[in-house]
Amino acid sequence: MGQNESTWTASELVYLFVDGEADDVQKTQLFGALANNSDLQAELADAIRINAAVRDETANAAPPAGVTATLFERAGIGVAAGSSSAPVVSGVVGGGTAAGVGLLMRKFGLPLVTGFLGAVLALFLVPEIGFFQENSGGRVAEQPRLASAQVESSRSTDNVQSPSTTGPRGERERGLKRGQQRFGMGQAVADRTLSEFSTSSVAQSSSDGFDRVELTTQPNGIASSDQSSVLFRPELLQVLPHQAINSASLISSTDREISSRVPRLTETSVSGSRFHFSTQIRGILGLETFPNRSLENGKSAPLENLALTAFWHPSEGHAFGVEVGRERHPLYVQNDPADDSGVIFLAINGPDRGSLDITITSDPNDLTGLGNGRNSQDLSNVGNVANTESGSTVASDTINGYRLEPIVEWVGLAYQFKAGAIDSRGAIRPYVQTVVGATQSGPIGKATLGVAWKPEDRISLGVGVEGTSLFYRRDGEWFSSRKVGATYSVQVEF
Amino acid sequence: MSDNFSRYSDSRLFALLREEPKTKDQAFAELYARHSSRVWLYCLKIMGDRQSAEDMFQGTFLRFLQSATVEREMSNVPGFLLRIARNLCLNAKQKMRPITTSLEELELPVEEHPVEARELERLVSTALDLLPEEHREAFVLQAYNGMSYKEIAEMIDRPVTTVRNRVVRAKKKMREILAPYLVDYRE
Repeated sequence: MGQNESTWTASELVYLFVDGEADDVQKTQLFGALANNSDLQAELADAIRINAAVRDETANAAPPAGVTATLFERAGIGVAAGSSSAPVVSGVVGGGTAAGVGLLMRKFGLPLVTGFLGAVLALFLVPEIGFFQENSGGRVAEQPRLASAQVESSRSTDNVQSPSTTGPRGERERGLKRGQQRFGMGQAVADRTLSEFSTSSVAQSSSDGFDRVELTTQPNGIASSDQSSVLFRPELLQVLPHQAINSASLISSTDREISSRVPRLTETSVSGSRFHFSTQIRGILGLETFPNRSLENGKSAPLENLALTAFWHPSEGHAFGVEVGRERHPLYVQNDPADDSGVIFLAINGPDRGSLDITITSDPNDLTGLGNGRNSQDLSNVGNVANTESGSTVASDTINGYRLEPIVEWVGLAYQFKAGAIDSRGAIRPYVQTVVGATQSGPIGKATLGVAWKPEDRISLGVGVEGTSLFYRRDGEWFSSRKVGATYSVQVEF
Repeated sequence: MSDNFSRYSDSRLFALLREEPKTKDQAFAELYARHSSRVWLYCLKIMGDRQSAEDMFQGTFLRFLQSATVEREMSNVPGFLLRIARNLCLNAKQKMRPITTSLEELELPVEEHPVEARELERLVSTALDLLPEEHREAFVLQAYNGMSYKEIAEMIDRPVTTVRNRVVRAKKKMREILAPYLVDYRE
């Protein structure tokens, strides 16, 4: 096919026509040829079908949400793509009646206030949290952004040569070995502060819009790429690798020139946890116990039903910690009317689950206490009593139930796993948390399933469902009492 | 706020990328919403594999954002984006070991029944790999990115006649590859 437009064949004109690039003369020429040429007609039909297939794919094409989220995080952009359609976090009680709001406040008011106070306390205890950082003289916590302000501009890419670039290759390689840093393809260098690098400069080319940032090695030879692109984050300097610069076999003047203008942008550790420790304050709302007894719930005193956990984050998503907590743990006491021994046998969580060192006889003074938790030595001091007064004589032929709510205190080990984000902004992550610990009466186990929302870089707010099993031993046998509750938490990373 | 941004021109939004962070973020999000699809398609079709396409796509927008720190007139944002994407993709492909696939080696699915429209999309994508680089790029820019021959010529800095030749040859080759499947449509 020649370059001259007059040399187009009828077959080639088909594609010009389908692409909307044929002029009137070419269209006339094509239609004339089509009239008596079935092969040409088939070619036109095929060209139209191929175009239609491409058009359909184009209409449905969009970058994957994960790619968008990663890009926005890397670019330090604080809004989701298509901001007008970004998800809006609405209030839990939005649209509810005033009575409903009042009910919710009565039910959750105290825990919410407690959680809020805990968060405020944590904010003051951890000095590097963003809200107070500027006043405290710490590093300014700003959103990560591309480096630009502190570098010097130049229009010439050829005039900018760092000392290590112009030095012998062997010397450059020795420098890399000394620092144990070899910037391989796809490898990002994180956890390195800006102070490790001595100078930087940027060369910008207006023709292609590319910027180049050069980093030179400090005299101590810690290591650096001789030419790399950088992204700044509050704590980290992200050095993005250069394939040609760092692969000895590819180093040549041509490759270096190409690669210096077009570095491969790769960042692998931005999404990783940047903080190694965190504390979590968790409130627990009792919802149900098993087996269920329709007895009135007791009132919680302030600061009851709280857990405090200190976590260590060895890797992204995983955290191990130590937890202390206290929680009202309902224990149900019920007599067994089938027992005609004259002694009313009170059992925990039903007659078939064994008792917990409680016996009540017809003599109200013959009472042994509950060996579980605090407030347990005297029935007159424990929780609510249904059907009868504590310590009184109860009839053996009726079912009498007591709800005892001793406070269980525990110390345990915790593990938390946070899964990947489920929203486009990467702020909402499901999590699982487990605790294994010890109480005054026996071991305790907890498991929480919830979601955490990260409104700020260091703070996560979580809600979830928590199951608890408390184990206790009586007469050589193990028994358990179980509880399901709702949790709310504030976790602060530092 | 975002509604206001949606009414701004590309040039205005590009200028806002130098403003304070909140404004910059909104402007970038709006530009991204407008042009990300075509950049994504370009990277995907030129690179041929998803991982490389993701790298090039993200690199394109990071470069774009970085370039906005310098004051400059920007009359054609999508063209600028595609030019960045093109440079990134072509350089990345230069560094890759060339992979050649012959028509005989290409494993297109054997269909006993007429191919559906979605399958034809997939076949076209697969057949793209058989086109020479220059022809593939011309095809992608014209067919997937909806650019005219003249726009492509300006972007790749080649004469319009060269672009025409490449597009037409690419499409004829594409039809030749897909001929066994297109027969089903004609029947």
